[in-house]
Amino acid sequence: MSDLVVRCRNLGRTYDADAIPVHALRGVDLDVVAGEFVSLAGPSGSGKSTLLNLIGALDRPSTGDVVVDGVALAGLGEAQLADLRLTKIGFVFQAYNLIPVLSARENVEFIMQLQGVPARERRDRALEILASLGMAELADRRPGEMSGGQQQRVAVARAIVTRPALLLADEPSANLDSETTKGLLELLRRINEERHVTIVTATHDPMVMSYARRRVQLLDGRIASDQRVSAETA
Amino acid sequence: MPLRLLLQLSWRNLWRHRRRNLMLFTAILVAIAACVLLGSLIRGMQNDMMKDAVENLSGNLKVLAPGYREDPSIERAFALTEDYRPDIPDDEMIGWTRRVRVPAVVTSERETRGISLVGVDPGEERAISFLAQVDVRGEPLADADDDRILLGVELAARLDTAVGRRVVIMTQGADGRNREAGFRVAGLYDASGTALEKSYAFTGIHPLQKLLGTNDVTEVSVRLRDDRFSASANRALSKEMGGLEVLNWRQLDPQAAAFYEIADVGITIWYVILLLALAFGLINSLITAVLERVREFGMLRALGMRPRAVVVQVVIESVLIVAFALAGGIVVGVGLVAFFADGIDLSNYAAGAELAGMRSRLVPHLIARDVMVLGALAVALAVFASAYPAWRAVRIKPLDALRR
Amino acid sequence: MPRETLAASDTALPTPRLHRAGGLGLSGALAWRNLWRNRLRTTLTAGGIAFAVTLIVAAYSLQGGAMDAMADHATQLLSGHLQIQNPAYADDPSLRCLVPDATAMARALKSVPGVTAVAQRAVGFALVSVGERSYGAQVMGVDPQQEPAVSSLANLVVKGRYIAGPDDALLGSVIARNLDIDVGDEFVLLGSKLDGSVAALSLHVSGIVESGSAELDRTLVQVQLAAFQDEFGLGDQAHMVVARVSDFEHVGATLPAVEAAIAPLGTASVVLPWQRLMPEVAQTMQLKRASSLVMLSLIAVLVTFSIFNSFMMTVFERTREFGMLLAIGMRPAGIIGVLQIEAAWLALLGAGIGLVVGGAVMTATQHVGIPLGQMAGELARRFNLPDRIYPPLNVGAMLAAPLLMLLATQLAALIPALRIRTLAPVDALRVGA
Repeated sequence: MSDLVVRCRNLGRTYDADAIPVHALRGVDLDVVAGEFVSLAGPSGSGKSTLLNLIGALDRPSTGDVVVDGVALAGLGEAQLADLRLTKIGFVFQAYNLIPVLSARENVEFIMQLQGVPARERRDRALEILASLGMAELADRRPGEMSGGQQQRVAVARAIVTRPALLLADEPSANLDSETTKGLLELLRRINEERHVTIVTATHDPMVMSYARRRVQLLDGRIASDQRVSAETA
Repeated sequence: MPLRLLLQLSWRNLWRHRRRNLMLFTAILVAIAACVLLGSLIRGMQNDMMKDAVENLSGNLKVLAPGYREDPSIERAFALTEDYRPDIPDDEMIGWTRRVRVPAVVTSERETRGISLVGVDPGEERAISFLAQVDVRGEPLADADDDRILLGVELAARLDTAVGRRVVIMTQGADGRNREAGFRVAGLYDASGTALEKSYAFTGIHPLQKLLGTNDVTEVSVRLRDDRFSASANRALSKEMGGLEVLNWRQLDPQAAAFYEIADVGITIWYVILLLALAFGLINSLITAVLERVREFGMLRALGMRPRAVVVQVVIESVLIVAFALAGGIVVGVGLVAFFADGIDLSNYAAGAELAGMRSRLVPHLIARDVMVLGALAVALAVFASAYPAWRAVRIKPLDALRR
Repeated sequence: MPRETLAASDTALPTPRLHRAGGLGLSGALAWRNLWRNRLRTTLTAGGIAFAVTLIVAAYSLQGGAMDAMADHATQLLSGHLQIQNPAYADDPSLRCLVPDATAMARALKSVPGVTAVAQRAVGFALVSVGERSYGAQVMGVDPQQEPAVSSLANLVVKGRYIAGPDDALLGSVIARNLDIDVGDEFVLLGSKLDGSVAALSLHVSGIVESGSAELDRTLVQVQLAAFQDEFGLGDQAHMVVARVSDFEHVGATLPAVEAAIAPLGTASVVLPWQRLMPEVAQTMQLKRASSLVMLSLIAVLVTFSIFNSFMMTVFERTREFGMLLAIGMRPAGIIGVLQIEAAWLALLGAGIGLVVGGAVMTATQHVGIPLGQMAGELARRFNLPDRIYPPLNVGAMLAAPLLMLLATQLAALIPALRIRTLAPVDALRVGA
């Protein structure tokens, strides 16, 4: 029996912008199983980012419910949602993932600091994950001393060092050129296949979509299609 | 680039960062208002200093015999014709008077005190000295022939005497021999318990001259409409009064003069200090505002706007904020001055205030010159704080700027 | 597909933890580094704080020095640090208002710890006559043994010598000049005894004194106490028993001891500290202190404004970063905590510089002294200040100023920082994207 990492039922999100309601998401059902690599794709306004935010406990739904790793988000307060994000979910954003004044290692350590991991252990784990992801030489560099692609990859390291149930990436390639994007996606594929990290990305980049083995198409706030594909070269 | 367009751009830009500009506006306003109030209070002190010195019988100018200041006795008197009149035009002079002032000993039924006895012409005094404004219990002196005596309230208390009672005056006459006479107390004057009140007594000038056995006077005091006429009036008097000293209030009361000078310097120093305290925050804000807009400047320059025009526009914005805040600060400051127009009550510190040359009410005095100096300093600060970063910002090539 | 083994706590709802930023030390380092992200802004803001601190230290040191000098100098001349008087004397300084058993009083006063010198005086009004000339004068009967210890007048004799015997008299320079008499000349003192009859003393000028106060020099005559008491019929009574204490600033603390010491003598005398004897000096000090407080508070307020502004800009600029931190699970309180530590660093930096600069300048001033120039010299004379003052560094100000700025900075940073509590990660992340 496989573990259900994400379970969404009848998820809806409406914004009241200038008294005109905007239905970003309408009645979406989505299940994500452990170890999947999912891309949420669609044009702008399709609701993919909204869906990602709801899964990531960054936003509250107007209708429906979300369960992440067996925990129902509905009854949780802000502080509890924060704890959930800290321990169960890893994030990679489009940009500004890292604290500018901390080195790569310190950025990876930071998230463990928030969890209260003791100093020696977190230092070891940080160096270990950077090395195993091929970024050992970036350990003492600050974000300002790295390229955009390197920053994104360090962000991935930070996102998984706490062994979360889920890694969410919102438009991770938006600021990168195609070559660098490929490097990032190779990394994501590796951690998905070798460490069985469940990944859900929201993207409109076809290259990102091609690496995902389950492609969910969204249109106007609803799921238009949901395809599983076998491994494919990009 | 036409100025009107620049102004329009500047004005609109101010509203883009409403909250930050409001913060800045408020800070500048508070600083300016404080400067205005403070400057007024110091000017008020300065004014009091001069008024006190001038009204306390010294006048703007005094004519004295040489040596009188060290030894104020009847021996150092000088002759003055009955019809004498100082050669000073009426539009410069408020009034003048002649006085006889000698040291004397006053004895009441119970006590004896050393005092200064001044023979005056009450009519002439009314126009020029504090005797006009002071409260008198009983009656003031009627005229130059009034042979009664006017004592300070404090002095009367020390002598344990009152209106209507008699005191005996003993003093040295013109011939060097002691003279004694009885005087009835006409009234008691209240000069807020100052040193003057404790040691000065007044009577009519003619009875005193008779007592002393002379027609001479010890001083001529001139009150001018404005102290700036002092130099020319001094020259006129010196010409007439050969052999006598003509002194202005600063020479007569060098301590008051010292205070007076310091006030100007003091005000400027405080302005600078307060504006400096403001400057740190002001420069911070302005520099950030400019740096944020590097891209915008790049765009403007790419569109063809000349670098100097960009700098001018930025400077105008800063000057606008400062100008508005300056105006607001001045309005608030003037309001505060009006609020304190009755003066700050220093009666708890009366003795200390007197020592410092102030009255027991500190009344603020606002003059245009101080406000203009303040305005100039503030605008200079704004120009400097914004011109430099703006100039640096426009030197970046448009393409580099756009890429940021 | 099994996932990697998770930590035990991950299966249940995560429990809140206390240290949301890894403890104070790491937040401290993070906060310090954050300060230097914008070097210019930090430098300017710290500069403002340093400015305020330097000003406060300098102002209070100068003021303290000047005030001390003024009070000490003024009380040295005649008033002393405290006096025992007849309760009625202050309002009615006449011959009648006496302190009985003056010698016993003086002895009792001397026994009080903290009292360094004691002298008795009798004072009255009299006429000084030379030939046909006479002037009114304040005659002071003093004990030549005791008086020099409480009054600096004895050191201001410019001609002749201080009084010794019953015929000696010390004259102020102006009254001597007015009477046209010099050292060695004879004159007569005429006054009223207690019973109203005429008191007359035949004296010769033993010395002439220049006190620096024209008023005093014009009216002062000092004679031997015993001679005065005898001629004016006072017996062992005086008008004041004057004392000097070791700590004149806190003379008030000595008062109860003095009152207790003289109580057994059973008279109704009052003990007056110099603040009551020379209210103009005490009040000038109070006035100066009050106005300084107002001014320096104003400067502190203006500097706090700039700190507030600085943090407002900082919070605004880092909104996206805060959104990211909230998204990855940091609590708002944790972020606010880091900001507060940034504020604390800023205050310490600025205050440190301010203390160094202020301390250095004032220490140098203390050694070199401040010459009160020609103009200020006139003021100095009025306020009884010496010609050069050596203001000591005011330690209290050096402690208070940094503390004040620390408090102000914390407050100034808190208000913008509180906005983080209402920040929604989703919106924050979107800012400027």
